[in-house]
Amino acid sequence: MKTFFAAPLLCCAVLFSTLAEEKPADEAPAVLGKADATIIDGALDEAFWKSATPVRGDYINSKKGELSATPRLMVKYAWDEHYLYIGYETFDENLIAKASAIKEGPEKNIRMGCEIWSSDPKEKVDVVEFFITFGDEHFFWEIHHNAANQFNDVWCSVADPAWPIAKSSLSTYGIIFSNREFIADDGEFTVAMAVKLKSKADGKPSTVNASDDADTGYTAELRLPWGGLGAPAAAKPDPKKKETDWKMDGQKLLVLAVVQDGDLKERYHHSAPQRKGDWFHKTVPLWPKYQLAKTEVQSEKKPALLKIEELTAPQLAGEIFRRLDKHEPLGELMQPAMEGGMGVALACAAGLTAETPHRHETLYDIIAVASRCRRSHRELLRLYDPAAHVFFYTDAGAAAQKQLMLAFSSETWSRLVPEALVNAAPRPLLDWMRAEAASENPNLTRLKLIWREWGTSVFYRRERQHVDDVRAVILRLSMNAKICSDADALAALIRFAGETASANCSAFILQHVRHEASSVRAEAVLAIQRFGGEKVPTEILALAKTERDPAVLLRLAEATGEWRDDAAAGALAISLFQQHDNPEMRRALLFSAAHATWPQRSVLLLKAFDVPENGVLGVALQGVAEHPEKALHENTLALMNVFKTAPAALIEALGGLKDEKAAPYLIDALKQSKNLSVRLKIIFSLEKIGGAAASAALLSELKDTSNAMFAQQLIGIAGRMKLAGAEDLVTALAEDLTAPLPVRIQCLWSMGSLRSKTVHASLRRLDAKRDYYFGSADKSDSDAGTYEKMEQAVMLIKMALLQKGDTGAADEAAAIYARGTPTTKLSMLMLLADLKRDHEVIADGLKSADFSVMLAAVHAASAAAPKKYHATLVALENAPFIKAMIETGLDLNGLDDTLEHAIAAGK
Amino acid sequence: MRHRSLFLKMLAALTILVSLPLRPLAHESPVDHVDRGIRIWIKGDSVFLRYQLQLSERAAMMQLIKIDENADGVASESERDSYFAAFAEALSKQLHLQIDGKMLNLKSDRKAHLLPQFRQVFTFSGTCGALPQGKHAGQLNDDYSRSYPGMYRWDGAKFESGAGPRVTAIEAPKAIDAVGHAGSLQLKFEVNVP
Repeated sequence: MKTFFAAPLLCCAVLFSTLAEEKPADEAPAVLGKADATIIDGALDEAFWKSATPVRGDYINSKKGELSATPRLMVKYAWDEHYLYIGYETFDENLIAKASAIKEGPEKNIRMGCEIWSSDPKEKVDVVEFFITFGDEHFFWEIHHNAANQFNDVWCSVADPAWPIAKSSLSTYGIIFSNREFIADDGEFTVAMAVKLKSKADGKPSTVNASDDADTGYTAELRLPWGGLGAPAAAKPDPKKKETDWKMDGQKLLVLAVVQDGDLKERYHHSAPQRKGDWFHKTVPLWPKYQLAKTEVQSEKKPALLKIEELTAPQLAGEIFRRLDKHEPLGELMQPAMEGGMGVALACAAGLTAETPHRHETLYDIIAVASRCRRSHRELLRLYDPAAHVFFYTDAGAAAQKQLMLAFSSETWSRLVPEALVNAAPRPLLDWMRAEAASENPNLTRLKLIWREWGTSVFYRRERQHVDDVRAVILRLSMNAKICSDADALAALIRFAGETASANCSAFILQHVRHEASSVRAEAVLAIQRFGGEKVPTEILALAKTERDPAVLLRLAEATGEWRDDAAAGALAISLFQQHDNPEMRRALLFSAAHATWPQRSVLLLKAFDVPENGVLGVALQGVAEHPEKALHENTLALMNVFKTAPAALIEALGGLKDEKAAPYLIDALKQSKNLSVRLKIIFSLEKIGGAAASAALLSELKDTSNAMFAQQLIGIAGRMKLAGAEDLVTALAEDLTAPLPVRIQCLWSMGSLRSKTVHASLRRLDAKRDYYFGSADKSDSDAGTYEKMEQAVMLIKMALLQKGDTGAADEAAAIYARGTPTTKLSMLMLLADLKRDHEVIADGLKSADFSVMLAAVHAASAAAPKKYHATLVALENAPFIKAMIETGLDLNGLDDTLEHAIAAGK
Repeated sequence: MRHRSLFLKMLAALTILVSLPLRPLAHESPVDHVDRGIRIWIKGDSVFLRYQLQLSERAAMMQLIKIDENADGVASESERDSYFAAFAEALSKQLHLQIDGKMLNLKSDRKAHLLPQFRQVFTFSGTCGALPQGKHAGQLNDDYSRSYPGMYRWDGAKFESGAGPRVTAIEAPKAIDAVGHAGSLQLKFEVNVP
């Protein structure tokens, strides 16, 4: 037994002579509300403290139910699934706190003890005490806390007088004080306490142990884990059920709050109106009773879907914070968070604080996804996501972006943090990179992460705002000695420069083309390739002479394709091909050669004929098919004697030669092959070759085939070749109600090109009786889209008649166009393009709000009458939003090239 | 060369287009698809239709061209309001709502509520009269879907609240052919008046 208890115990014995207990009248326990996330700092400024019911600790101990005229102690209680929280306020004008010689607690949570009494009468020690029990009158905690944040926790055992231990030497007036016991931490949930001194009249904080001023007291917070307090075992989380929270809803407990003010004659004041005198420990039934609020699980843990849909951005973010703080899954909140745009993302960003690191990963994920909208045009943002427009396009927004830089205070970054920073904090990120560029010790790890993310963003044209700034900062970074001396960082920076087309760094990159690290050399070659240009740089040529690393060689091989018109690149390609037998590198060189105009191109391709293995010859033959130079003919034809079974690459190459000598070989292959895709390649090659033998073979196949897909392609060929002898078969198929519809529609397409009276007559019949031939939309068993197909068929008939010169066909086609869906309009315009035929619908298509219709109209205008539509096409190209679209990374099906070609054709 | 190659790809796509069955809910097309969400609710003697379209970014950009009437590169508030007022009006004529076999005259509020990710929400209303207790069959035909197919979502369940008539979809939406029209979306629902 600690001696320091002896004197106050004697005092208690003297002071509290009345031992009679009074049974309290039955009273309902006061309900304690739940706490939200709190920081234990002694300040009672959290919302839940403000709404908690204050408990007065002003009852004079020597009198029953009599309150002090002056406030002495105010207490509030709250709770959650892991803790009991106590917040209190004192009003002491002379704060005295004395540490005891004892420090105790769990290994990682040792606290300094406090004296609750001093033998020196000048030391008028002050302390606040709490007695806590879950209903047991014999066993409970006694806690002491003072203005210096010193803390005692004593396990009290109040023996029944009949128990032998009541008479043992361990007992002091029937109470056993176990001072060595301490309230244990419960895993990650730990005991915590804090004090905040209140301000005096002069505005300065109250002082502890200085009696020459007038203090005003202090506020304090205590946080006590249920496990350490000894809450009922039934409430304990069951790890077998993967429970993590204590089940404390509705739990009752009794708590007595006591304040000792050493300066007062009436030293003790407390919170129990029913008690008078006696040991605090022996009046448990008279302590105030409390019950933890019963929570409605569904409404708290899972707001109704209705509520989530109606939540404002701050409310949604608040619910996200709550769940993260409680380690609850976000579940149905994620989708609205991701869909809510920058408004929600910014509300979530407000939850990024140094005190809440557990929230960071999820919040940065939300911010990263929501801020992908920055890739969109600012006018789109202004319409659809005004918060994003303000955030990304105003000075106020730029200032607000800094908040997201909190990530730099974390030791590690979760997966989407770089994207979140690039997307949502580009301006402060640029500032940071500028500072790193000037630093002697830049953070290379973080720089590389940012470069990788931003480089990809620029490369795929998602970055529209800051490309020039990014390039400028790359140039600064290239001057940093630390970056340049680290091979890994240097390679990453060079890659970044290449992806962002930072040609301002060309000199810097060329300087490192001969770097000792192969990774740097490889990235340097790739970056130079990405910069483009007409001539291959001399540094690249020099590197190629001595390079041995396979990865760098491959990059060199791929890069040669960039300088497709430069003879030096062709010479480089041949040199590499001859010096290195790496098949991957050789294939890359041949791919590059496919579209090149090098004078040495055919020489290079022919070299592949000598080393055909590992797909090398196959790639060379692709080049032959692409552009069959005369020098390649004989060697390619000679391969017919080498391959008994025609490989696909050879089939296409022979087609590209357009030499009738290849026809018998291909016709034979057609007869032998059962593979549909090979047979398709053969017939397309025979189409290219043309001539009598090819035509006869194609006609024969058309007559014999029973495969609908194959027939469809043959019919298309028949139309393009204007295949004599196909007319009767094609018209018969078009009118055959049992033939597959796609085949019949293909027939219509081809009939416009076929010349014969039979065809013309058939077209007229089909037009006159279209309902009969193509079905009616009012049939009850017609499936969806039947009408659409019928419209397609009618349109094709009209277009075919248009080709035949039938009057009225043009107007009727226009009528179909006018009522058609975008699909129908697209089809008609593409047909006009194929026919190179002008029509009034082209002008309409150029004004269309449907992208595919507009694109098809551009094709048609270019093919049919580029001069006529020149002014319209130029205006279209210069239209603000068309220009903006072209500058994005959106899939525009080649609109920019098509427009460029169309305008050039019209000049 | 590249232009020609793209042109051939477009022609190939067209070949696929004309040869495949054109089901609005599942076809490959260069046409921009539009996803939609629908919610129907009853309040008093009126029926309300919340119709949400979600455009692709490309389609939203194309629409901007139309909104920007003076082609100055800025979609002003007045241009936006004017455009969407006309659009909502045109849309109201393509949505056909009936309850208990009675076709309702839908009126638009001539506005679009624009949300992130290129969503446009239109609200329409019609008078259905006080519905007696019990179940009432309803149907919505969406002719707009004929030209602009896309994924469809019934948003009704998200907005259920305790009291009042409940509207539930009773069939997965299907595309139907009506006389003179290509496949348009048809949604069948039920109103349950407690």
